[in-house]
Amino acid sequence: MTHRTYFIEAIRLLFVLTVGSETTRIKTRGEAAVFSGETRLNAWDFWMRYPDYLADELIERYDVTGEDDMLAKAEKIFVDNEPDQRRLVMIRYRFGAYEKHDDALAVLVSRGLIGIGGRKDVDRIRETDFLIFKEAFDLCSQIVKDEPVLIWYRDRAELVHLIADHRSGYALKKRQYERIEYATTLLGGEIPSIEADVKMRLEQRLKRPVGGSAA
Amino acid sequence: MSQKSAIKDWISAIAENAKLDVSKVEDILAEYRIEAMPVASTPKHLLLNRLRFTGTKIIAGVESPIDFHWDKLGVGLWAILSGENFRGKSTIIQVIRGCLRGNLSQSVQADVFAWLRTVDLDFQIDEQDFQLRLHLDDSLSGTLTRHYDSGRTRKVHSFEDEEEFEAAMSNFFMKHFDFDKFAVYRTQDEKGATVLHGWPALSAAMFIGTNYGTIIGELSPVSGIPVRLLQMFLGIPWVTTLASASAALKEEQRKQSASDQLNNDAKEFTERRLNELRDSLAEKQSQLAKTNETKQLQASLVACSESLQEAANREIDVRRRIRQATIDHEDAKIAVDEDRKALRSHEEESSAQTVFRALDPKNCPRCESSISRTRKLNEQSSNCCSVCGGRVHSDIDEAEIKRQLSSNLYASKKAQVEASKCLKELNIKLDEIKQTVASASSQQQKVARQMTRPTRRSGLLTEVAELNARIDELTKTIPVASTKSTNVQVLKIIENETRARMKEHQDNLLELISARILDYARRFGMTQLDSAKLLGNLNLPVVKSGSATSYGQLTAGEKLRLKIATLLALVIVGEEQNVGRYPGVLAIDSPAAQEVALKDLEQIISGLSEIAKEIGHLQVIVGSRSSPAICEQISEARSVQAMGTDYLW
Repeated sequence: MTHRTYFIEAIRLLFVLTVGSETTRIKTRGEAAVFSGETRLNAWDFWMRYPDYLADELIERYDVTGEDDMLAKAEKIFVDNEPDQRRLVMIRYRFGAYEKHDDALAVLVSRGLIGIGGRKDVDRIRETDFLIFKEAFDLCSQIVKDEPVLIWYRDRAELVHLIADHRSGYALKKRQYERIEYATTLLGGEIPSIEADVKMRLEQRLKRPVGGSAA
Repeated sequence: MSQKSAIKDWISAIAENAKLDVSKVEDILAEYRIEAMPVASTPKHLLLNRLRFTGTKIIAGVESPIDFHWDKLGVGLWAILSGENFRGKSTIIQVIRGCLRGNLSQSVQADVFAWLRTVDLDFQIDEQDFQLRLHLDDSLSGTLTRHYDSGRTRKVHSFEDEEEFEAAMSNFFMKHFDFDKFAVYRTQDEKGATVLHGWPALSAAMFIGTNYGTIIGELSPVSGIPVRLLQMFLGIPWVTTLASASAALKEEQRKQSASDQLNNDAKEFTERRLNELRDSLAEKQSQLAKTNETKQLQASLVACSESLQEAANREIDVRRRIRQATIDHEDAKIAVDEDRKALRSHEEESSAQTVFRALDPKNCPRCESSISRTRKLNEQSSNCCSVCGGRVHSDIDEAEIKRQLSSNLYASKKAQVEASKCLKELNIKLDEIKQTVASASSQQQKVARQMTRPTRRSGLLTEVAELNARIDELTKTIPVASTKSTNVQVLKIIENETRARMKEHQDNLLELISARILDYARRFGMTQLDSAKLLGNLNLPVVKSGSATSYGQLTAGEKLRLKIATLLALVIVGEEQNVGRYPGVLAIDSPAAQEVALKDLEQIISGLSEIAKEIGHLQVIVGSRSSPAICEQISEARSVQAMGTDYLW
């Protein structure tokens, strides 16, 4: 992995962390907000990297709430061919997708954008919080303004936020685990695409013939 | 030549001509009952001695007894004379005729027959005396008895009715005169039959009535009987045999002709039917030649199969190319995706790099402690990272990489478009080929169905086979034209051989007879007659006053003269040649006054008077009106006479 990929991973994590952070009253090191838990970060990152799983969630949301917007968003994922274009494979580990982001996080830490918070036990699991400094929010604004090719990361992080809906990392991981394909994946193996299955579910809801192009 | 050797010679000649064994010829002669009669028997002479008949005559309601008798008759000329006509002359002759013939009721007028009660006729045959006694009460009965010189009598025949009477007289005379029944072939209503004639025909010749149509007897020459009578009376050898042979031949020819006709009809019918069948066959065969469906269908089927196969091959090829094109298209799509991904990644990474390179490190990512001012200054001068010591600014030309990636994407997109276009074209081509295949397949099935269903051609083939079979069968049944029956050929030979033998005798006799006819006719007053020639067929061409004419064209008086002359000529020639078999009695009934003048009769009687004397055994009885001239010729003793208006009986 080159530094170039660290940078783009750092961009992705920057938007996940900023979008997914919450302001706190107690500021340990002058941080503007906190993103809670590494498990949560991985859960968010999984949906960032597997557009088909995200689309699946959008469809699920549509089925529950009947929000047409959810279906439109899911459809757009396929129209943009995101499952092919945007998927970044992850390895299944224990109870969910997992990847250590040390190199990318180091980019953010060294630029004084985030800080690694103290560890604490959440639901008997030792979790790390991420401190998000004001410079991170400023940088995000600057990126949206100066680098339009990267806006997708902000938008996607916001969409994941919509789906994650303030749920904890543990809750998200449980949710993701429910996906059969996900669950049947061998421990340590690549998490496979569920594009075909999701696309079919989408077509059914759009009342279009199965197999038809979403484009 | 003896009779025996004459018969042997006759049979041998027939066998030789017919190329048959003698025994076979004898079989045929027996089959047709043709008897060899080469020699005539010696002539016998009949002589009437006495006639008597009794009865009761009823005229205008007045009964008067009848008792006519004419005794002591003998050879020579005898006359029945009356001053007027209708005085009973004919009845006397009719009674004689009825007695001899055995059919009295038919010979005598019905009213006269009813008056009669008894009829006696005494006669001689060559010195043998016979007495005929008839009783006519309710029915006819009677006897025929022979009287011997010793006074002894022997009943020859007795009869209880007319039928028996006729049979008895017929048998008696035929036997005594040694006559054979003679066969005459008669055609009537398009059917032919051989009829045997006997005594009635023979005896009729002894009576000359008023029918002068034919020169001998009373029947038409067409019947064939007069010729036979001539031959019989002449006693020409082989006459009976010839008659039998001719009749048998005609009968056989008729059968053959009928058979031929049937055969020809059947043949004609069969051949007509055959021609019809052959016409039908020709027509069907012509139709068959025109249809020739199977070959056409086979050719069509082959063509269909070939085009189907060709189309199917093309379809396989196009499908293979589509598979390849699909793979190419998929590959192109993947390439486009990958190139797009690569370009996007590069752009994103470049942007991310720009973002982060603009930010100087503030602290160590490992321990998060601040980067010292010294390290930062050192980085600016050496271009070495203030954190790790690596090179800070990349010498990679970002723009060049982007250009390459963009170029890649363009190329892969273009490839995808081309692959897509190719696929689309191939699919259009596939649709076309599929249609061709479907059409060819449908056409092939259609042809195949036509081949399997019974076609017009197979129907025609069946019809042709049937017609051929019927023609074969019918050809076998065509009647073969029958070869002329061997029997007909043999009978012809028999007839020829017999006729040749008969003619030999006949021609001589006819010449002698003709001379006599001429002589006698002149003596009967036909002084202008130059010649007369009796032919075997009984024609009598004559030359009168230098002109040739024939019997049929003469006057009644002349005919009567010739008729009598002919019979007398027959008798005298037969007698002279010792062959004639004329019974010896001639009765000439009174000719009708209108047809034959009294003068004619006077001349005839004058002649007869002389001739009768010349022919020793001849007995001539003439019925005539009396005249001084006649009375001069015939003495009272030789006549019965009724003077003035008297009746003879």
